[in-house]
This record gives sequence, C-alpha cells and structure tokens, in this order.
Amino acid sequence: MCGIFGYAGAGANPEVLVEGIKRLEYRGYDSWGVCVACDDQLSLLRSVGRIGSVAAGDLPLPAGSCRAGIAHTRWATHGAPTEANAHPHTDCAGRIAVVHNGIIENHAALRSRLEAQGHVFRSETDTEVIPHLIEEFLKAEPDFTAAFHSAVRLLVGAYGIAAVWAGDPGAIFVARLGSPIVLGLGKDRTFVASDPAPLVAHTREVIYLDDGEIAVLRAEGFTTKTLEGAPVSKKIQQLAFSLPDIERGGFPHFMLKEITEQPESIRNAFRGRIVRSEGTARLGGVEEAVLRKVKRCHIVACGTSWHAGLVGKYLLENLARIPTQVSFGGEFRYSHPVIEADTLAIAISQSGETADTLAGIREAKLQGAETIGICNVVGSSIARECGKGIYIHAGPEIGVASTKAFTSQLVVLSLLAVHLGRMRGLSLRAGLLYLDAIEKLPEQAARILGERDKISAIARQYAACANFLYIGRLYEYPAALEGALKLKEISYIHAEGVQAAEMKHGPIALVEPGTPTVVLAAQGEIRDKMMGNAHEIRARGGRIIAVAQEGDDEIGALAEHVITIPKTLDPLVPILSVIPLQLFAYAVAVERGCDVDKPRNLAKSVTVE
Amino acid sequence: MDTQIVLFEDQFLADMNPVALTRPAFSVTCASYTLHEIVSSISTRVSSILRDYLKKVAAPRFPQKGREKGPALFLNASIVPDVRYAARIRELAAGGKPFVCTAGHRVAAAYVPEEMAAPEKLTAEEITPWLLECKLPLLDEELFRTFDRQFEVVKHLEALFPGNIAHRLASGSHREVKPGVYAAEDVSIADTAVFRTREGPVVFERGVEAMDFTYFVGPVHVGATSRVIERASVKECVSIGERCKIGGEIEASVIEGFTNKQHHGFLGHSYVGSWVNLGAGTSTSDLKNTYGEVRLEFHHAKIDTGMQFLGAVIGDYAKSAINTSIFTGKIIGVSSMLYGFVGQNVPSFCNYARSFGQITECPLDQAVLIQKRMFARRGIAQNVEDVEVLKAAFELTRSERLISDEPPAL
Repeated sequence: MCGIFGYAGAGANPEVLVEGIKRLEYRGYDSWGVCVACDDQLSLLRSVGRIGSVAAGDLPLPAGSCRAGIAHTRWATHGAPTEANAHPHTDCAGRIAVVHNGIIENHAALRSRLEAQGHVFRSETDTEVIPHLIEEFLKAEPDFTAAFHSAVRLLVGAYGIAAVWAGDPGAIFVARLGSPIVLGLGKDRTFVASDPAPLVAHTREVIYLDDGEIAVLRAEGFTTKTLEGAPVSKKIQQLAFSLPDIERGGFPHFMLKEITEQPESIRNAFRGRIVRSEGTARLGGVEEAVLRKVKRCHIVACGTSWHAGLVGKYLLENLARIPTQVSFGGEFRYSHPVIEADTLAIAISQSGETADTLAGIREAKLQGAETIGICNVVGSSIARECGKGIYIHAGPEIGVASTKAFTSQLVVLSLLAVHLGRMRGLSLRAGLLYLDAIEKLPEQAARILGERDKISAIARQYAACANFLYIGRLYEYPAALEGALKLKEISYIHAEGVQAAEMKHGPIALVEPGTPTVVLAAQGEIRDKMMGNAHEIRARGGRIIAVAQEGDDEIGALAEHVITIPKTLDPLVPILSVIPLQLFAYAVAVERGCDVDKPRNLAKSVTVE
Repeated sequence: MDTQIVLFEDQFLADMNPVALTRPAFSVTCASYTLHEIVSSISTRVSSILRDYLKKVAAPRFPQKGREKGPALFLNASIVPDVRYAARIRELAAGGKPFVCTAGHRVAAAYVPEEMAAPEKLTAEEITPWLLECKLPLLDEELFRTFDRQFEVVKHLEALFPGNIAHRLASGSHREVKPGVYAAEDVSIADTAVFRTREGPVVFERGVEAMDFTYFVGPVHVGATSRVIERASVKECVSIGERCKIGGEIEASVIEGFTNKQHHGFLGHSYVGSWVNLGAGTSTSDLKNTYGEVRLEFHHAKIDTGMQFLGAVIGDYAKSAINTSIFTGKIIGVSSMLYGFVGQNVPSFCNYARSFGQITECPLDQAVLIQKRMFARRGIAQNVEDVEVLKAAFELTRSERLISDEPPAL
C-alpha cells in the first residue's frame, strides 16, 4: 500500500503536494517523492524516510510556474526503501514521471523486453516499467494519452497510477485496476489521490474511479474512459467524512479497517506468486538452490507471528515432509539450539524489527543456518539480516493487535510449503488443489466479513465475562492461541488457547457452568474429535461458541452460537477461522470501552529484548 | 462419436532416457501393446505433439491426421499402455466434459472444449503449462499411470500382461493350436517345442517361427515374423516385437522390434530397444546378491525402484560383444557398444570397455554407418530422418559423456 497525490492547475507547487502526501502517510512511510511539471520539463525530488518530518517550504524544487505535479509516499514491495526505489519513476529521457500504488505482476517480463529494446532501468521496482513502456509507445504514437492507454493495457496486476509528461505539463494521466483512486474537483484545479484524505483541504466534490478506467486531469476538469477507450460518465459525490475517518477508511478503528482489508491483503500475499503452469508457487526472494538443500526448518518468531509459525510447522511437515521446529524469538538464543547442516531458519515478523526474533535469527546464522525472513516491512532489520526472504505485502498495519499480517503470513507460509513440497514429491494434483484453494481465500474472507454484524452481536453477549477458553487441534490450535491473544490484547479479558486434546489433562477443570469456550471445529479430518470436546464442555455447563464449516448442522445442537466459515482445505482453515475471532475480540473490546488501536502496555513494534 | 485425441509428449521425458530418446513416448511397448495402438483403436482422429526431432521420423511409422480445430481429448504420450484404459479413454472422449487429470507430477489427460482450442504450434515443452493455465476442472482421481522413469516399463510388465494379452486374443484372429498357444497365420512351431501355459497364454503373431526344443512359459507375446531359435527358453511375461531373432534364456522382459538376441545368455527383467544386437553369452543380472531392492543410479540420483528383480534398460541401437555381463539395474544408452563387465550405467554413444581400461565416445558417423548397415540387412533404406534422430540424440546426450576426470556415466 502506498499513497498517491496529484494536483493539476495553477498553484501545483511542491508545498501543496507534500502536504497532500503527509495526509497519506498512514498508507506508507518508508520513502517519498515529488515531481512537478513546469515549462516543458519535469523537476523531481525523492528521499528516504517519513514525509511527516519534511518542511515543505525548503524543498529544492521550482514553485512558481508549475501547472501539475504528482507525489508519492511509499510502502516498499519491490526493492528496499532507497532513494533510487522511491517514486516517482521516470523514463530514460526523464520526460515522463509515474507514481504507482499496487503490484505489477508481469514487471519482470516487461523489464526484460524493454531492456532488450535499449531502455535503462535505475531502480529495483516493478513501477519503473511503466514510464519506460509509455516512452516506448510514444515512439510510434505521438499522442500521449494513446501511448498511456497502450502501456496500461499491457500491465498485469494491481495498480493506481498517476503520470505527468513534460510535453503536456498541465495534465495528469491516471489509471486504476485493483488499487483505489479518487479524483477531486476544485475551482480551476483537479486532484487525484489514493483516498480522500488529502482532498478534504481542497474540495468536497470527488469522483471514485472504477477498475479498468483511465482519466486525464487538467485545471479545467477531467475526462474518463475505459481501458478500451470508450468514454465513461462519472458521478460526482460529496465527501461527508472527517479527516480521521478518512484515514481509517471510514472505520472507527484501524484494527477494524485492517480486519476488513483482509480479502485484499490475502490476495496481495499470493499475487504474482502462483505458478499454475507448474502447480507450484514462486517466491522470488528465496533461491531455489537453497530450498532444494533444506533438510530441516527452524522457525523463529514472537507473539502472533509465532502462532503463524506453528501453522507453518504443520504446513511444512505435511506438504513438504521437512521436519520443522518453532521457537520463541526470546528463547532461541538461550536454549542452546541444535542447528544441523542444511537447516533453514525462518524469521517471521510483521515489522521486521522484533528484537527477540532478530537476535534469534542472528544466532541461527552464526551457527551456519540459511536464513530467510517473512516480513511485512521491506528493508527492515530482519529482512536485511536474512538477506533474502518473502514479503507478505499486507500494507501498513497500524492497529497494535496484528490481524491482516497474520493471515498474510499464513498465505506466504502455505505458498512456501507448496513450493518446497513440489520440490519433494508433492503431486501436481495436490499442488493445484492448494493453489485453487488459496486463490479462493479472498472471496471466502469477504464472505466471513459479511457476517460481521452477527459475530459482533454474539460477542457483545460475552463482554462481561472474566475468562475465556479457545480450543482447537492441528491447524486450528494456533488459531485458538491467536483468538485468545486477540481477546487478551484489546479487551483485557483473561483468555487461554488450549490444544483440545489436552483439555482432559488439566484445563477442563476450568470449565464450570457459564464458562465461555470457543470451539474451533472447521477442519474435516479432526472434526469428530472436536465434537467430543464440545460434548465434554457442554456436559459441564460450559457455553460454546463454535467456529465450524458451512453446512455443519450437527454442532449447532451443542453450541450456543455457531459462526460458519466457507469450506477450504484443512491446512488453510486457520486463515479463515481466525477472521471471526478477530471480529469477536474487536467487538468485545469496543463493548468494554477499550482503546482498541492502542491497548495498554503494548507497542506495535517490540524493539527491545 | 469419433473424438479428436491428441497424444502429447511433455517436458519430463528426460527421466525416460534412453527408452524414449529415439522414439515417441507413445511407441514404448509394454506387455505387447503401445499406447499408440490402444488409442488408434479408439479414434481415427489421432494426432500428436512430439519433440521436434522426432516429428519427421514418426510421421510415416505412426500415420496420423493433423490436429484439427474443435474440442479434443489430450492424452499424455507416457500413459502406460494398459488396455483397461481404453474404456476409460472412450468414456472421457464421449463425455465431452472439460477436465484435467494428473498422474503424479504430470498432466495425464485433459478434455479441452472448443472455445479453449489449443494454439496450433504448441510444443512438447509448452503443452502441460498450457493445459494447466486453462484452469480446467481438476478430477478427483488420478485415472492413469504414466511411465515416469525408464525402469518402470519393466515394473509394469507383470501387472499389465494378463489384461493386455487377453485383449489381444479377443480382438485378433488367432487360432488355438495347442492348449493355451495361439497363433496367427503362417506361424511355424516345431514339434519339439514345449509350452507351459497355466499362468498365461503364448501368442504368436503372423509368420513367427518357433524352432526345435524351444521352451515357452506364458504369458508370452511374440511379434510378427520374429524367430525363436532352437533351445531358447522364453518365460513369464515376455513381450517380443516384430522381426526379432531370439535365443538363450529370457524372462519377464520387453524386446522392441528388429532386435537380435540370438544366442545363449540370460536376459531377465529387462527392457531392450529396437535395433539392438546382444552378442553370444551376453547376460544381465536381475537380482542382487543381497536379495535386496535394486537401487538405480541416474543423473547422479539414487532411485529406489521398489523392485527385487531388475535387469538392464538398453536403448535403441546398442550392441554388446560376446560374453558381456551387465550388472543389476544398469542403464545402457542409445548406440552404445559394450565389452566385458558392465558395472555402471553407460551413456549413449559410448564404447564401453572398462574391463580393458577403455571408455570412449562412439562417433556419430560410426553410429550412422552402423544404422545403415543394420537397416540394409533387413531390407530397409536408411533415410535422412533416421539419421537426424541419431544426430539429435547424440547432441542431447553430449553432456552425459562430458563429465570431466570421470569415466562417462549416466
């Protein structure tokens, strides 16, 4: 996720543009850039770091006669946060500048083709292919709009794009597919942005561009067409939200916004990584030769990421038949770990800055393990320490309680397990089944989110409880731990995640009449065992909230409430079953009046050991 | 309805070397049938997607129609030639429902509807990725098995023989000339020939000659105009192609057409390609002294075969000198020549005489010349396409022979 802002009209000076992307900083903050078009030339400024601390008045850019400009605040996906990788990106001649939010899946193929045609690339980003593509089309087609159309039609993936051209310095060229774009209409000026946050200072009249549409903005107004060139008539809407509302996408809390973003963040985690033609996944950050040698895996992580690691263990052992261990980051160094030859140490951390995990992975490296990181923040300490890894592309996660990062981590671990599995005898059919199931997850997650009101209503009934149990087996055991952690973190209710078979060895003593227990029973293979657990709890007067597969009518007889999730393969169940648990915890916390986004005693990124 | 069937080779055939190096994968014989024969009996609209260098040589030997527009059933050319699959193929072809079906790591079959018609110039490398990208519904079951590695031709032999031989009898015009012995026209069987057919029939195709004191234990299939010379012992699941000369002791093996194994010596649990000549006294070992599972080495990997009995896999055009002894589970490449003890795999186009300290490359010119001479003895003219196949095979296997400081080995 990145932030785009553009301004066409008199007064398109750098200060306005910088103020615009400051409003979008929550969408990405590792680097930024501004480009203004004045008098047949483009002036560009890019920098690493947060835009928030930049004094706009001091920028070394022309201010007086600029007629259009674009700006960008970046959340790195392809290439580390460096000045060279910051947007805008330009063509060879420096006459076309582009800012982009999204992922261009076919960038590698396009880049090879353009390099063969003589184009010189200066960054590691996927975005840079866009200005070069436009430049290439401009050689045969003098009309910039037509060249822009032709270039955009070749892009595969997700994009919100804004471009300026020195040959027409009063215009901004915009395209959208999969990434949001909103246009703003002012008096003698028009705007483009990733969301309405930077527009409210200028106008309340906005137009939401739809997928497959292209717009050209000028001071006097805008035109919109489809990718195929057919004119489109757009409806002007009035903004009715406050600025904080807009930053949170209209949601009362970032946590809820992030829970709701999961269909998209899950899609971004597998976007461009599924190689259906070989029934496998391709994970660009990890060398094939390294993966082929792996005999053991050792996952190092903390908190929610540790729960993801537990699912990863089951996935890697089941699909790839690789013995896998999961360690707490904070314990790894001190437990005298045995690192055998050909061990792959996998560090999982949303921020990539988790101090315990970082220390753990350094220890593993010291002992000779190959290391990879599964992180959200590109160029973070863990990503750099590992040297290679897989980014989850979840976009910035602001709520302290991790939600979308968890499901994205699980998607990436599933892809890794499929890939390693296919290298080690997992059948083509099994590979295809997993890929098909992974591709369905966004739509299935959206269906679960459609049940938000129902889940919230159930949750509110339990807001006064002092204790909770969450039970699950196999892939749902980590989901039980994660559900309990979410409740603890944001509602301050004591909750315990328990491996369901272990109930009879102790924890069942906690069940008394009225004790709420969340029973996770959506996996096919061990559903009957979970039914047995449900009977035991019911017999002791416990109240059961079940998370079950759609169509499971039987469990309703035992549970007070049943939340259903769509059917998927057992190893992928936690990706879906955790979503209702997140919504449940959120609704309980709100009902109890807790500060959901900033729970007491907690920080988003734990950078101390 | 006569559905269009496309037999396609895929990108995984290297593991079938040398068996499928110089022939289309659909023409590998197992238990008397090739996949091409089975499919040709189902549809008259059979076409194929083959490795480029085989297209011209295959065209006259496996007459096919060109690929047409419209729906088609795609079948992997490596599907095991099991006649029981014929009904399954008919059903899938007639069903007209789009699907893709896998076998292990490969696509085994797919029904591609008209609207998704395959591009005209799909290659063997491209077809599997294309079928998978079509996102056809994935069948729950793996309906077909494929030959994934060369030794599997021998591995499937025993299981396929009863069904295949029964089908051959049911669909042919053989006469039962002795209990359990079936002969097509012009078959000559010496009075002193002995047959044991309790475990399966012995089937002779047109013009076969079984000479004095030959001994057969069924199931056995001998292809047209082959000759089994005096005192030969042919036992239990032996499939012999056309125009072969057979002698010595043979057990549970496939011998493709035009091959000579005239003299004494044991061939057991082995595959022998076409135009092979095994000299007198050539023997294969098919059982380890440990009685353990045979482990095969191929391209630096050690492969557990799951077989206690496995002899040799010998590619087309290979030759052995007198008294050559081939150790258990060895692979002999195309156009190689063997002398003495063969204790390791032999790459294609090698003169292998390690017992005498010599392993050298067999020049392509020499292989072409030998091909010409062998063809001439059978009244066959060598044509450009035959030579081109040898040239391509020579190039494809060059790396096998270029292992620095090591004796050539697969």
